[in-house]
Amino acid sequence: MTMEVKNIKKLGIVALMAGAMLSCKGDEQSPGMEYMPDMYRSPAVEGYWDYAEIQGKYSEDAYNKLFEKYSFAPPAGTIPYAGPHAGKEDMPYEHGAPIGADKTHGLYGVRQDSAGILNAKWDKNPIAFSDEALKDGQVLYERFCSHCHGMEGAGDGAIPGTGKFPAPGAFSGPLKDKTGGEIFYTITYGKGAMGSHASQLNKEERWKVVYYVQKLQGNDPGAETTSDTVAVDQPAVQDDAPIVPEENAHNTH
Amino acid sequence: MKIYSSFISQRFRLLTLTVFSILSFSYNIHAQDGDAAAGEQLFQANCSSCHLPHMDATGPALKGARERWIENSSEENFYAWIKNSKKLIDAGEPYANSIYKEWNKTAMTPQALTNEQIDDIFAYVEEYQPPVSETASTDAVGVGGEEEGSDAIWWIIGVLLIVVVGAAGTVRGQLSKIAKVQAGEPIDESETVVQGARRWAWNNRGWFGVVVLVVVVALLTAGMMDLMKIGVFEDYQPEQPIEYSHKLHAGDLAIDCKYCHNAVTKSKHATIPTVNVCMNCHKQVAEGTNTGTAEIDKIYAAAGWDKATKTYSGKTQPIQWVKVHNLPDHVYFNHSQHVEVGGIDCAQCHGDMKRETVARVMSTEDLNNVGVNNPDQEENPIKFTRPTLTMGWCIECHQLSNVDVAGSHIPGADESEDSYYGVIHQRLLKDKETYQKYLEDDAVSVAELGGWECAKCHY
Repeated sequence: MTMEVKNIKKLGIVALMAGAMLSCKGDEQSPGMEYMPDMYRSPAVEGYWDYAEIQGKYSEDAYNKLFEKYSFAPPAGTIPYAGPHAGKEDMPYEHGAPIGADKTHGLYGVRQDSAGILNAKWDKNPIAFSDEALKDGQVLYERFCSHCHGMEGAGDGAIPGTGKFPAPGAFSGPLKDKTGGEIFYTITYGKGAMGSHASQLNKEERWKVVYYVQKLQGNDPGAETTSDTVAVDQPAVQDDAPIVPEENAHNTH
Repeated sequence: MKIYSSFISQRFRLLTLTVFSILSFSYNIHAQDGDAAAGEQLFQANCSSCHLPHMDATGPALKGARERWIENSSEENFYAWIKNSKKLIDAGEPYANSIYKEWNKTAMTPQALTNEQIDDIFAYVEEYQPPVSETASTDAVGVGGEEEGSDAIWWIIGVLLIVVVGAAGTVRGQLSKIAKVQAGEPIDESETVVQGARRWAWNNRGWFGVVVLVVVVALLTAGMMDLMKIGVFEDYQPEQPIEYSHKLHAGDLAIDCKYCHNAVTKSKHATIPTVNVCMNCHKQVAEGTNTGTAEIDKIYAAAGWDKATKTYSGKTQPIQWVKVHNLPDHVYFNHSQHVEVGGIDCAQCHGDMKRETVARVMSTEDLNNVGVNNPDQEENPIKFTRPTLTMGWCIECHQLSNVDVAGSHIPGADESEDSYYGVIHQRLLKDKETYQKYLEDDAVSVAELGGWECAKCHY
């Protein structure tokens, strides 16, 4: 009789030990142990934090209120402060987005103007050309553009290479005649399959990218393109689309 | 004989070849033959930025477009449509207007192409085969699953061993009892299990003592090591609302880390990308390599993108990503200072995310192993000994990292225009004594420039 009792006890001890050792295994869903609350839950509002936990209790009410504003959008009309250069590169862009950009490119609440790209065409690059600016442009190009447009701008990046995304035209080919202003406009608002990159690149950065794209086009990025010299050979692409600035440009909602 | 037969077979082959080529040629005449090679170039130059041959993009899939036009309208209109679609629409051609409506009234840019060139393009389009994805299904079989499997095997072996030892002990006890009974020795039936165990321990006190000592030391060590894990958040890998794979995007598709985490050069936070950044590609890519449409549909719900009509609805909702790398509020950390000013590669602190799926707080070992045995990636210059995201870890890196202060000075630049370390260098030149002290080991470390000052990070 005692033998059986002994057996059960042994089994129990084995099970306990196994359980204890298994529980030592880290749980990747939990950040880990804290000795005391070590100010991980900041009373000052920090980004990407669930503020529904109030004084140690989780509040569904607060959660529901905050859910809508999980990533707080800045108030309408906010101009980002960009350090000592503020105002130079982040002023609002004077040319409106193409008509229907809210539907096609998700540019909700952005001013629309059917003549936007035509007016933007002859914009001059406000950043003085220098090798530094070109080098910055190259770094930004390789970071933000190359996975679609390719390192040399031939439209052979890794993403079109999968066959799931249409390949952009080569800068030295079909896109050779795009002016700096048009390139800037396209980066800002997107075109066709390309989305707007204005949230990723500020104005100064976009103009630097323009310099590098002009180099990839095989054009001289340093040459100032003024309206008198280039306006002569306006391409006839828009011939059939009459230029009528929209009356109700704010038809976004 | 042999020569003769080979001659026949050669002639036969020639005959079949001729017949075949004639047949295929006659077939081609019906389908408007074109030069596919020339067509590919024309396609890349004129069509590829909006059209894919095999699937809808900004514009519809081109495969079968000719047949669709012949079926619904005429072949002449098919050519006219490509050359200037707006003209056909305005002329009131019903099929043209139905396509125009279906594609949200976006007219195609008029194309200056001849009918022959259009034939070339469609010859290419009709024979196009999409590239086979090489990355499919490699992601699903992670290293984690394998490790877990081998772990379980060891546990089972361990439990079995204990059971075997227990069984052998019981059998031995019973046998010795029987032996005692046979030898006529008295058996104390009143002895309890505890008394028995005590007697056994006392009889074998030498070995028993050693075993107890070993167990106590082992438990203490394990406990100590567990205590050292308090406040260490290595290997934290919470489940995220979308099953995003860094391996696929940053690894296989070669998207730069900073494309999505683009505030890393400008702000304290690296930031999780806003949905519009996802939509830059996923407006077109609706079916993922690993998860099909399930995960990408969550992006569409957040962005307000309607897959069916290919328009944005304006109804957005946030995605609640879970923050992985957390620092207590009494520590100030700034990404831009490290990435933009310090020029540190992301992999130094975040490891090789090109091989990981979901974000994880990498262990020190992972960070030190970056680029080891991988010719495509540089090794991390700093090798850590302290756990990730602890103060010791920061301090260690600040001590071991050197700054090229002299090299970062922009020659001739005014202090307001100079680089961060350029300004420091100009100030150090006015205080030669301090500069010499810093340069005793031929390098200026971050710690020497104030990287060990308490108030740099705690204020």
